[in-house]
Amino acid sequence: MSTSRDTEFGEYVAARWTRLVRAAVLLGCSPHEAEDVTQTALTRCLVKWSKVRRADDRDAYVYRILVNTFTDSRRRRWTGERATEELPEPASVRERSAFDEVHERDAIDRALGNLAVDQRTAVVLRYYLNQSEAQMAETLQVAPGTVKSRLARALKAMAVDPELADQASTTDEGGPR
Amino acid sequence: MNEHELMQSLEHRAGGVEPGAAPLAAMTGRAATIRKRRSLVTAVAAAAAVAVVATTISLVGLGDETSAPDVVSPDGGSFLDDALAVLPGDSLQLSFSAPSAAAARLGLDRSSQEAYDADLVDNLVADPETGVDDTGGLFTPLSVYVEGLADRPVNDYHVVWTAFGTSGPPAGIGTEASYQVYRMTPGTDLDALADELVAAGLDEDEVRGRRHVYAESVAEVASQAGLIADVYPLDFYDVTIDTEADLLITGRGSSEVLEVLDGERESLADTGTFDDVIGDLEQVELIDASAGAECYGEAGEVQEPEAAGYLVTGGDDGSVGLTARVVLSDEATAATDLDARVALFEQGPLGEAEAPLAEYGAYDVTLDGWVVELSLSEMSSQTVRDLTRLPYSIIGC
Repeated sequence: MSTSRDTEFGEYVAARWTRLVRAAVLLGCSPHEAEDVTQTALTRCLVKWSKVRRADDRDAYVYRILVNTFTDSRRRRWTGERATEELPEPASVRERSAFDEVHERDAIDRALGNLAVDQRTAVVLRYYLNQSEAQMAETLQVAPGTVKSRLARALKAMAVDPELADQASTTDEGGPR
Repeated sequence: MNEHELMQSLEHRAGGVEPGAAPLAAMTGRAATIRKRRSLVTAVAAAAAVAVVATTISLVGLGDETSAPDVVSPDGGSFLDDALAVLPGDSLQLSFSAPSAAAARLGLDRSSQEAYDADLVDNLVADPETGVDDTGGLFTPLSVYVEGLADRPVNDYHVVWTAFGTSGPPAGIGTEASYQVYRMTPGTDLDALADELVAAGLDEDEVRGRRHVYAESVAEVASQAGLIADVYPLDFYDVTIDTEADLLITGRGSSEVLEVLDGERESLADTGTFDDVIGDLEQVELIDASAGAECYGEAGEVQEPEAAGYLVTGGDDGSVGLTARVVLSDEATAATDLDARVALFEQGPLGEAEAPLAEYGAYDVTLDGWVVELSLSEMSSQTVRDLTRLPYSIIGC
């Protein structure tokens, strides 16, 4: 691998690492697992870096690898899995664990956890990674109509989620953000 | 909650996670190591056969360990039969893979660990964006760590087969009853692994006469990157070894496996929980199966299976066979399920593209007593895997 490619890859990782790890958390990883999944995804990208750099939308390509890597990581698990052991969290998270913040975080986690995998992925791509529906279709390799239907179903499910409704009202009242 | 509020909530939720620094050196170092290995393999291939052995031993310093591991099923039966005889009989979830069988089918170079790792990486990184593969049961939970494990006592090169399961209802890694069992090639230095983990801070005791190294909490011993002893997956925070049987067991459910080994607990071979899923298939490389999984919801007259799963078998010509089976409670239920499932296949939505099954490839559906069987072709094993996992599953309900 050339030094220039190392440098380019390094700059990309430096700029995107935190965002990708956080996206992996929203997809359903624990914080440590998210770093592992992101590292694996980026390593795969590095091996194919010449292809990544030629992509029209580099981020969309990387997101696609990230989603595939996350899906692979769930290969052995079965629907309905509920891990019972809390994985380690960064100290900064623990220090911020006031009741309201934990409640809000749990509400989001549970709401996302109640979505089907494809719907959850769509929500993360659209509303956290700020992809357009066209970009999502490219990332997920599905028709734009499929993206729309997944988002619509996800939003419909989240709209009636009682915990999120509580959260929204709390936020409206100036609660924790 | 409107879309704007949702974006804010996700941003806030994700902002609570502060990742460590990006392990750039680990990533670029891994790629560099892959390149070096390929160069080494190329150079060695040009030398005479005797020189190959001598050069390899000299370069990697593995001495006697450079000879190819003796990959045989201990009882002379199939790898799957061997696994079923070890796994607890009350397991309701089974994920099995036989990398040694897949490696033989794919022609991976087992002349040395370096050669094997290089071939493994070639398969590991092949077209991740398409997911197309014929790798079958080649990979284990250790595969993605191939670089870091290259000089460690336990790695893919030494794995004959591995199986993940739970004693009781489905659950995840880290739960009390989950286990990952590895049958290693004879002579694998499992004591060296245990020594390494103890040196990394894990405690040690004995469980049913076997060496057991563990941490009370994974948080005590996991690195910021989520690894144990810097290179092993998280479930290595609880490891039990049986050096006589060449078995490595990770996860909290090891005692149930040991009870089977000691003849004090029924195995899956005894209970036959997945016998109808496996059927009479031979050369099974991979299984993902579950018994008693809950249905997602409405799917017409598709019935709730007693057990279901998909299997990849290896062919003598290097190809793979893809089969999915749904086991129903009785023949009448199976007949009802067959009609509904055929309609589902024809109309969809199935899989990632929420399409009819024919859009993914060819298939044939048959009814054999209380078992609905799908033979699939013209699609990758990855596609079949996805078709059995996603909400729009071909074997779910």
